[in-house]
Amino acid sequence: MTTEDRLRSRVLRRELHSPRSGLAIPLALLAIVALAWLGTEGVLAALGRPALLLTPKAMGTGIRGLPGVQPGTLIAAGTVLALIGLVLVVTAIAPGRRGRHIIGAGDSAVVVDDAVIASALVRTAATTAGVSPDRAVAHVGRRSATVRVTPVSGVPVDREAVQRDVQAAAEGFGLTPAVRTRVAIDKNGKVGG
Amino acid sequence: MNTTNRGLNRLFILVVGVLLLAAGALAIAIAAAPALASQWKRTASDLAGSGAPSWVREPVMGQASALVIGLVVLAVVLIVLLLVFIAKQGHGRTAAALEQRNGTTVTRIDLAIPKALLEQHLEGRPELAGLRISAYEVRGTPMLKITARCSRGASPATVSSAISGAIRDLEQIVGTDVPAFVQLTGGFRTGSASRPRVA
Repeated sequence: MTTEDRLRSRVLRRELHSPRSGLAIPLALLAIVALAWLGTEGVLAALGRPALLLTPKAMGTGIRGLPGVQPGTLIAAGTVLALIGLVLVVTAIAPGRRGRHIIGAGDSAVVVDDAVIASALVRTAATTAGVSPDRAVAHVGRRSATVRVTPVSGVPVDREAVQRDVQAAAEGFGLTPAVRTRVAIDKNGKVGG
Repeated sequence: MNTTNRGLNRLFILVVGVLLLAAGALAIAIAAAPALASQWKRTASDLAGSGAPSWVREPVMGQASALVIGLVVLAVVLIVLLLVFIAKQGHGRTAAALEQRNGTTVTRIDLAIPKALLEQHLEGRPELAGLRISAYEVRGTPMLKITARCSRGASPATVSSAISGAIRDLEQIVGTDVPAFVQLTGGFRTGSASRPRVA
């Protein structure tokens, strides 16, 4: 592997996955606030000044007195904490893929947002179906794409032809991973357009 | 493209998640398991009485025990580490787009040059609604980041090959490889009913 290949694969891998900064930074800020409060209470207690909210002694008493709290309250609070924790654990481990595809092969590092692919597929479908691009919507996932066309009332749309052209367009983009397309024609058309 | 330590981001989220999960599970266990609750009570009364070690009981500084002082020091250290953690996010931009090493000499080409050349080359294309060019240092090598906003319905393949062609021309002009990362964005408003879901 040459240096350039390594650079390319590193950048592609990073651009296709979320950095998780959007969660890590607010979480770190919350942790800083909590720790700052804890530290301040400790210093105030050492100086013998009144506490902001709780003295360290009161915190200790609270923790010791946990079994005395109503079981319902304890279970509710515990469940909320555990659920938040579970969401964080899953977020930390899940791949966090962004809605993007690698486009083209070879030595270039090009990624395309799924919205761009959807927009291009809509253009293709609308042209073949003979409707305005506003009358078609596309949804692009990782390995499949769905295009829904709303025909003009009274003008039939050849689903096979649209399907063929859309699939050809998707294949022509050279996406990785490849996208399988599905075309749906709405039963009820709309007037005009 | 930036130098954010993503492994560290995930590790931090994982640690906070595990701590919250453990705290929640402990609260539920105390409420649901009487055996654990009575054990907790016994330990608590031991600690409240004379069972507590002297470093928990006796003030060593002002009116705070060694336990409280230790927690304060730990909090300060963690706050500093977290501030460093936040400050390290998203760096890696550079002003030099290209670097050419020739024995002992290093030639650096400013971002302005490839930027002007690429913009000129791609100017006037109807598929392109906008172009943003910056440079990042990836593993010590400068790399161009080209973000192209595609106009509605434009074929990404067309835009991609146009930009690849522009990069090839740039490589010929400067006479060296130009490592580049291209991102195609835009294409919004693909329909009036619903927009494509972008995860």
